[in-house]
Amino acid sequence: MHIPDYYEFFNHLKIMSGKRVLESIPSELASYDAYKPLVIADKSITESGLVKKFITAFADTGMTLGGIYDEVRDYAGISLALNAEVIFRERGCDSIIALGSGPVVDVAKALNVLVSENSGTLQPYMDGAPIGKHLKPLIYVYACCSMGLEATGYLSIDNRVMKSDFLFPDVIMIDPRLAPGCCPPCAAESAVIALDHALGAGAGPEPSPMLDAYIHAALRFLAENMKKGVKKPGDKAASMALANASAMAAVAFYNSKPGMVHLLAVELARITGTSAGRFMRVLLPYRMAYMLSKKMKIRDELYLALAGFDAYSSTPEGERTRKGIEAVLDLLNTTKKALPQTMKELNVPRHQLKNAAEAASAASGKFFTAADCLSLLEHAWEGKAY
Amino acid sequence: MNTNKYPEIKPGSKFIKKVYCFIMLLIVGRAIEAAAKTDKVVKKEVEGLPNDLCFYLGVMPSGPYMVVGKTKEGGMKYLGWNLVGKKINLRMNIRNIEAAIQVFTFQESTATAFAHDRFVVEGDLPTATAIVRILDIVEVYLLPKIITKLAVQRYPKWSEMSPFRKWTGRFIIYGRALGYGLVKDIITNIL
Repeated sequence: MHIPDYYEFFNHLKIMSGKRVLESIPSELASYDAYKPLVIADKSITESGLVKKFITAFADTGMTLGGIYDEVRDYAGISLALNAEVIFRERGCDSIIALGSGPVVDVAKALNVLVSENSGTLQPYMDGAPIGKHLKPLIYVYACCSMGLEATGYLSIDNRVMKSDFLFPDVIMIDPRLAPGCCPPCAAESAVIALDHALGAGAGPEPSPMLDAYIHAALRFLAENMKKGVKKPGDKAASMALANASAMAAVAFYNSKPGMVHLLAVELARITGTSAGRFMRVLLPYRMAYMLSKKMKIRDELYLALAGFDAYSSTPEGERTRKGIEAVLDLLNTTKKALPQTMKELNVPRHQLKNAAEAASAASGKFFTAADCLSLLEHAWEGKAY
Repeated sequence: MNTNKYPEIKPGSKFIKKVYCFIMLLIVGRAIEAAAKTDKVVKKEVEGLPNDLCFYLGVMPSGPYMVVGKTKEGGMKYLGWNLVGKKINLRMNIRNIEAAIQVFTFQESTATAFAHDRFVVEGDLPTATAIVRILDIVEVYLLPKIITKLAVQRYPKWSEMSPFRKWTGRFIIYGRALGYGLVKDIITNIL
């Protein structure tokens, strides 16, 4: 196995996955000398009653929950974090638990910066000031689905993004009581985001062995469980596997450059207000086709991860790239009924494609040219094969 | 902003689960004492333990507990459920009541629970693993094979524990664990 001359890999996250892990939250908090957490939750989670299961986990622990702030819906805004800060300080809390996905975790991270740095605002950090110290303990409880960036050092709030190693949650809890998705689109979106992140992380010029390990495991989980997980989002085994895949893909994504599909999907999501996962589902097949048509290097390991050792070893070397891409497309087809298939279904105004392409190119530091980005978007818009 | 909309929450208690764990710990504690007198493998394990050993097995954060100590004669003695006034040098805690229920309802073996990080040990780790081995043997005596297989890492073969030894041992250990001494222990601990 080839070892690169140099590589870096960072993962601050402790992943706890399995039966009854929620009950370990108090002892995990105690290990950080924290005893009074404030819970940030998604409104839909409190409405669905999942929060009761969560509270039961604290029975007999002697811990008091500082409160459950459940005003977060599908948009993370600074005002939510500032409101939560008031409760945090008034109740004398010392840690944060994020119960939910995407926006909930973003609000929890923003709150953590506010209460740990005592800055009163996030503006300096959004403008590039570094976070200079460890923040308060933050536990992320996976619930229902993932938007892909929860288990990373990214914070996305009010459509602005910042990145810091200190923004990683300290622990992620994946419990079968909370992991099952609420509906097929929700499960499909999480799975597609994980797939895109794992593929994007593996597409770099020389992935590190650590990165490879995460990507391989994430892709294996997706290959074995995506079909079942999307069809039956309530299936505990499949949803646990998809949740683990999401966490691993997120760590891999954090340690690599964002791919073109991710950048474009995020920009389109910002413009249209539709979630990024849906755009990834539409764009990913075109990106794969583009890479194949341009004979760009796609590693054989993709096919190994998606199809398993037997299929990999029985396929001639020259065909593994094509087979790997076919395997990705097969996986994406499992989301056919759950997610939109075309850009038109997502109501993207055509005149916005150019803006999205330019913004994505700028976000990549011109690693991807605006012309390439636009070409991908136009092919996807017209449904035209490469 | 009205913060009263988000009140503090004091989670309740799992009283029945705690009572169940308390009874299990009481019986197992008494059975360890009895097995140390009855079974030669347990006797050998106990010989290897430090002479001043006093350990507890309990549930975090507030019990129930089972305190067991090594006697001057080289046996084991169940010292009750109260930690006060005992010179404990090995603390074996199960992280929470749910993990304890997993172990005591035999959904998870002690070894698996250790592997799943459900135990927190403060003290000498080799001694703790010796105690887990003793617990495994005690479970073989106390429980029917079909349940014990779930609870222990490996069920002993015939060559290691013949049915005769198992059944005579089971009879004696149950007699000693649940006999007069049990009532005496309960009264001593309450008073």
